[in-house]
Amino acid sequence: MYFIRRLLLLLPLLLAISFLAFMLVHLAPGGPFDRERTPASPEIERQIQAKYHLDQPLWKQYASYLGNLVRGDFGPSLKYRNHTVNDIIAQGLPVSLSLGALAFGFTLGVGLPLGFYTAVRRGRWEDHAGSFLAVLVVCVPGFILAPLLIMGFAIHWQWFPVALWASPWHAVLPTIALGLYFSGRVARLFHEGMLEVMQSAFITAARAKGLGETALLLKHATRLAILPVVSYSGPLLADLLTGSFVIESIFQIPGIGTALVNGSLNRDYTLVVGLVVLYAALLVFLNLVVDFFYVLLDRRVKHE
Amino acid sequence: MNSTVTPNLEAERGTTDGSRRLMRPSQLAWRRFWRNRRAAISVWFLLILALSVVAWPVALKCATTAGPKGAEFASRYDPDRVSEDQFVPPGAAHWCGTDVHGRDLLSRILFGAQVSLLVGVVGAGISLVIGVLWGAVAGFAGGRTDGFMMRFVDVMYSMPSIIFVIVLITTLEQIFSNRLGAVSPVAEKFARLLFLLLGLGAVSWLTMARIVRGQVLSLKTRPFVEASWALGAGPAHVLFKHIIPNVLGVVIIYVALTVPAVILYESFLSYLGLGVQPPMASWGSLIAEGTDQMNPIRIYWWLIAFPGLFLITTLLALNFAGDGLRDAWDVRSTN
Repeated sequence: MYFIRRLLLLLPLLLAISFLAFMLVHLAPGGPFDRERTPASPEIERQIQAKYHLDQPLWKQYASYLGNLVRGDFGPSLKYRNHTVNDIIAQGLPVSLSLGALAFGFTLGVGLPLGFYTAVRRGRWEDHAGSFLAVLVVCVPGFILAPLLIMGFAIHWQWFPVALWASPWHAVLPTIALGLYFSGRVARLFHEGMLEVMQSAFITAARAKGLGETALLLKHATRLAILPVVSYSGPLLADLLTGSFVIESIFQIPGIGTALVNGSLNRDYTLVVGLVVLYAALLVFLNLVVDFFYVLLDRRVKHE
Repeated sequence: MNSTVTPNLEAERGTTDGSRRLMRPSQLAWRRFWRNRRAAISVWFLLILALSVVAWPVALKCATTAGPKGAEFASRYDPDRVSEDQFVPPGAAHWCGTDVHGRDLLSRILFGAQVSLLVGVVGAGISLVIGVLWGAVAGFAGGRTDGFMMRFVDVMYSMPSIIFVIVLITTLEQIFSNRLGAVSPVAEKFARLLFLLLGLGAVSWLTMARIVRGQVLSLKTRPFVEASWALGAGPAHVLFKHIIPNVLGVVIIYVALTVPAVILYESFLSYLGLGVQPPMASWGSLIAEGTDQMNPIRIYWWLIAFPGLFLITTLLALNFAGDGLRDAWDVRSTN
């Protein structure tokens, strides 16, 4: 019931976001065709404006845009002629999503063991070294790591391809460059979660009953300690999707991140608004999924 | 993290130096903070960095007036002077090497630090002012006002923040760049920086507002606030004299952790070409320039490594200092 209501609340939220984005983009003077090389005659200009409905009042444009959006039509791209925004999304989204999913797996694969290990070895040198590593990694953004990885592993040793998105080998460096930064955060969250759970009464009780340390940690403590990580994974997925802008441009990966940055520089109205709405929808939807898993893991949470 | 701060009860009572005077909680917190070696080293590092960032331009200015040798020194390390010494690797003359136009990289990094640090501090300042006011008013007013204000925050939250900043910056630029260019070229140069600050400030206050609202909601029911109401104080008095001062502890900790986040945002945007415009540089744009020079034939590693090193160590120090503040002030987390 709760989730159905949340789903229904999505609609006004997306409406508000699309309105905000639409108004923001159209607020600026100058259209997408101002940078054309040869100044078109007024007649041609008027016809182009009419073709894309840019001559109508703003509210009318927004209304017709919304009407198309409901039917799943993001409209034509204003910069890439003969391409609709749907085309661009259909080309870029699978690439961006798979990069994001790979990086998400990498983040959890590195962050969770690191957080677990440092929590178990609390106070020893492994804890200090691991915790330092976790903070250090949070301070190394992808756009520093990516060129260093390329210079080392692609140019100098030539283990991996330098750029592009063609084979599984091509995915290795971008995945690391995108995911490593966030694995530090996951490690810290899981570390703190473990420490907190290990102090709780039910752990002491389980230990008093003679439960083995391995079962205690893996079966009982982890299940609760992972909750902060679960609730962080919604924003994490969003950050991975948007963080891939830079990674996509460094590795020349044809995802939607590059399209968005170019679109907003080129004043490609429909492309920018469409992508903002798409990102927001993804983000909100992912948060919903995350909340769903949260309830599955922690039965104490009841959504009224 | 927390394990580095072990509350020493003897020290807490102020008995280590033999005297039995009681210390105020803030004194105790500062004492805990300086005991945290990591945080203390970080603060010293940041101070030295800030000092050299301020001192370096002054030193260059002074050198120009100090005879021909000084003038030569100043022109060699002028961050904007184009010379023949392209891509000189790090060495005695140029500690961090030179870039594609033969400019001294260390000098450019120190000048770029002005932008990066300024953006971090001012951006966090903007998030502080908006976030505290928004959260405090929403929590304090309650009811429909609260609902409306927090729904707005929710909407902003669901928009991927970096995308919002990108759209906002490009829009602001389109609106103002023509007009500002007509006023003066200097204004145009700094306009970009201003837009950057506005854009970053516009997204970084959201979490702050949520935190402050939560604090205010719990403070509102406390006896001393009720007492103030009972004594006939107006809402402005209660809000600014009793509620906001009590929120500030949490706020300061969060601001300390916002500064590195904003610096990171700035370098991200500058990297994408949406930040400061050349010849003005920030650490992010320096790294971007270094990435542009990347090619399979020759590796100019220093162009990325040194700006990156400055960025990473600064972020690290800011994070350690912020964690230190949190551990020192938030008694619950020092167990």
